[in-house]
Amino acid sequence: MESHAAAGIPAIEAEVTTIAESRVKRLVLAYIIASTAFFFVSGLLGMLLRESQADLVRLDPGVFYSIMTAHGLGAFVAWAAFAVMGASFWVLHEVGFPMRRLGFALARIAWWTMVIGVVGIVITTLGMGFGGSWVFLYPLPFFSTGEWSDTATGIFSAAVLLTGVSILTWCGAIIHTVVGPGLGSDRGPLNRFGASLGFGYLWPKRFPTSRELPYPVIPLAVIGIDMIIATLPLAALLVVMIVQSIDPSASIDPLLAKNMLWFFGHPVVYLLLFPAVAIYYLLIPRYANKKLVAGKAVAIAWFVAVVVNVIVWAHHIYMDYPDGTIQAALNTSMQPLTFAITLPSAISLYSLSMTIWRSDFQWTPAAKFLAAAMLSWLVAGLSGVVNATIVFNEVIHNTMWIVGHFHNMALLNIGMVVFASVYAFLPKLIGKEWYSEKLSNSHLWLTVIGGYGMCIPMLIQGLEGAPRRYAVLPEVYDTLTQLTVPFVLMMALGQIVFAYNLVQTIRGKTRAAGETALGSLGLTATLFFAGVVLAVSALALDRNDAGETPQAGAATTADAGQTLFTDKCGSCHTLSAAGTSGTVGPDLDQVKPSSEAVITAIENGGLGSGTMPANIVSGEEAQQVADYVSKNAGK
Amino acid sequence: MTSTGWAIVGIYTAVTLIGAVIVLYVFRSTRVGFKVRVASREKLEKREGYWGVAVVCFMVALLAGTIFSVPYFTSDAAEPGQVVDVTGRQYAWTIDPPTIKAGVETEFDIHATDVSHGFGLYDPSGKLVKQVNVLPGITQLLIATLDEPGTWTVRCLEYCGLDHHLMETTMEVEP
Repeated sequence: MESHAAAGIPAIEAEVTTIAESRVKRLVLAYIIASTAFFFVSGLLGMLLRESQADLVRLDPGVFYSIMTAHGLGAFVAWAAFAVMGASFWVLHEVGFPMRRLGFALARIAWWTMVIGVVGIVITTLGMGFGGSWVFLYPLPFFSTGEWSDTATGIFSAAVLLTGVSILTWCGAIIHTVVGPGLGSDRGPLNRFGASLGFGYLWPKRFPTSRELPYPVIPLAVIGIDMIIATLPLAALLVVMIVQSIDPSASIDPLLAKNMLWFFGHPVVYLLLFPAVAIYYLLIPRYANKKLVAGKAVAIAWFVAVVVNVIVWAHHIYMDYPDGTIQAALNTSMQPLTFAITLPSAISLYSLSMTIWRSDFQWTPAAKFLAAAMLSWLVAGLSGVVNATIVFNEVIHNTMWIVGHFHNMALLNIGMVVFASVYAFLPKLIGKEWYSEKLSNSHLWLTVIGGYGMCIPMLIQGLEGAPRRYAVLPEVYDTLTQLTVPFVLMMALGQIVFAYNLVQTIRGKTRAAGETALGSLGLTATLFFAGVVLAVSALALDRNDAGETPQAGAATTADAGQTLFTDKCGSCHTLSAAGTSGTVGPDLDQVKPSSEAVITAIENGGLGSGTMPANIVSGEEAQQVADYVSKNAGK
Repeated sequence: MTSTGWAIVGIYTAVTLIGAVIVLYVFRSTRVGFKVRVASREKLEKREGYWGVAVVCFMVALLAGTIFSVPYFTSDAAEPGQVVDVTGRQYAWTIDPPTIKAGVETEFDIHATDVSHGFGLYDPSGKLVKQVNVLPGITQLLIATLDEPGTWTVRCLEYCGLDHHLMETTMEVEP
């Protein structure tokens, strides 16, 4: 044993069977292919949402909110999380942590459960109309006002539960691998796990290893244990929702449910970030051609992270503090704790920057993506500090600022790391070089410029009070929304370039043949893009003109009555003349109320179950609605 | 934009720009033509600790400057001059009474009958001034003094379903 250690070979490696490299390669490749496919779909859905808000292709609200639910889960979990989950196994492989049988089996289960879960999410949102948003804020999934069924809620919950199972089994695979022979420790399992968290940097005698622990292992071990702690309460909440979808008498306290959701909802952000940090720790020193500049502070920061990550959830519910609960005190305590968790990011950014500092850095495409990602990490981290500060949160909570913040973090930091990992790892995984470096660079710049052109207006809109999750934003925010459209299209173009480069690479096309075809592709793409921008701008202007004329003058009372009815009443009442089919309130085609009866109902609110509030419309508008309904009911 | 909004813009933009310039300078240091010399590793690793301390100091300062202004615990000290009952349901607000006095400390007793809603108060110029979330079955208090007379808008800020974006009403604030 000692001779092994002296030679720098982990002491117990010879005693266990490890999985062959070719099989690990196939596993990682499966993660890359599936997550990239999910990326293209969810990216397209996101583009649709923004174009609908900009009134280019106005989606029906029910469709908008279903797509919003699918886009959130798709981009965040099925793409970014899934992609870094797969890349993590390759990172561990490259730093000398081979997978063993159990870990490998768990990693395969994680792949299958994720893919099946995502298919379930697609079916229930896009197919069955579930539009409860990705946070499915309890009890909203059971109050759909006729948009989706409890069955859809039940199947959706089961699908999300499957992705939770995927995360749990992934954690098992990671922990099994980091305590394995790569570590070079002959201690017990708990001690080995402590060593994989970087404890050996702080207490070298208590956590001895035969070689220095590679830094990329630490964030993976941290998130491996934290996601087990974080996912279990969410799984319990989902089980309650599945039961309630079958037996409506089951229920759970909404405040408890919201805390359970965010107990998962915070750490899941770090399910994206921490493996991304592992990728940074692996690749940046490689391109800088020197060891990561890191002292004890890194180990201390990760020690803080592993504990604090699971006790900061309530910073997502700062604006909930009902009387007679401890939520206000809980929320207040979460601000300093959340501030503490900036440490791993701040220290890591220092380490990575100083590793690059005056090095002979190789600016490969992957390296450029990582550099752009580091900038976003800083910028989006700082907008995260704004979110974490309660007095600031009151101004930006549930506004577009939050949407700008997490696209900045998840797309322009973690997403860029995902792209970097694909550019860096794919040649090794399939044994082929990239088709074109030029296309990689186009992908980079289109994504960065398009991405910031989308995020910055979102941040500004949020500061101006624009609510998030609005199918139709109040008019004052329209100009900024429309400004983002060309940038969103620019980003889409970047992903087309990426897809083309990826396909050509996998097909084994060589660069020599590629460079000649490249010019024509570039020209075509530019012309296409210019055409789209022109068409979109023309359409936007056209829409604006068309939208303003009727409002200015010629609207008849009947038209106004119909519009008001569709906007304010139609979601609950059926009236075939207006094309509405709400089922919450009485079917007006059957009731056929008189104008006076409508006025009475509007002024006094609901008479039956009493859920319709009084004065939804008032004065002249109420008269217009009453006239319209009395003339058109039953037709 | 509210004064807090402008404070965010100021601090956030300044810190972001300084940080971005430093990072870009680091990237530039790798280019040919930049005076190449290997920096002492020990020195850089030691500075990591100093940087960590600097970050902690910054965060403690931000904490000390903001934590005493949290919107919580106000109901204990409040002596509201008027009480307003607010009910949110899919997809409308009921505000009783719909007209209140400006400059008087007001207690909003907010309820939700079905799902969670967000009570967002916009002043007559369209600024989001106050907000709070309300869960079904629990009373959520908001203590606020609305100084500006005119028509205020209430929008739902917590996603509540199909017509969430239409859940909007107005209230009058009289001088």
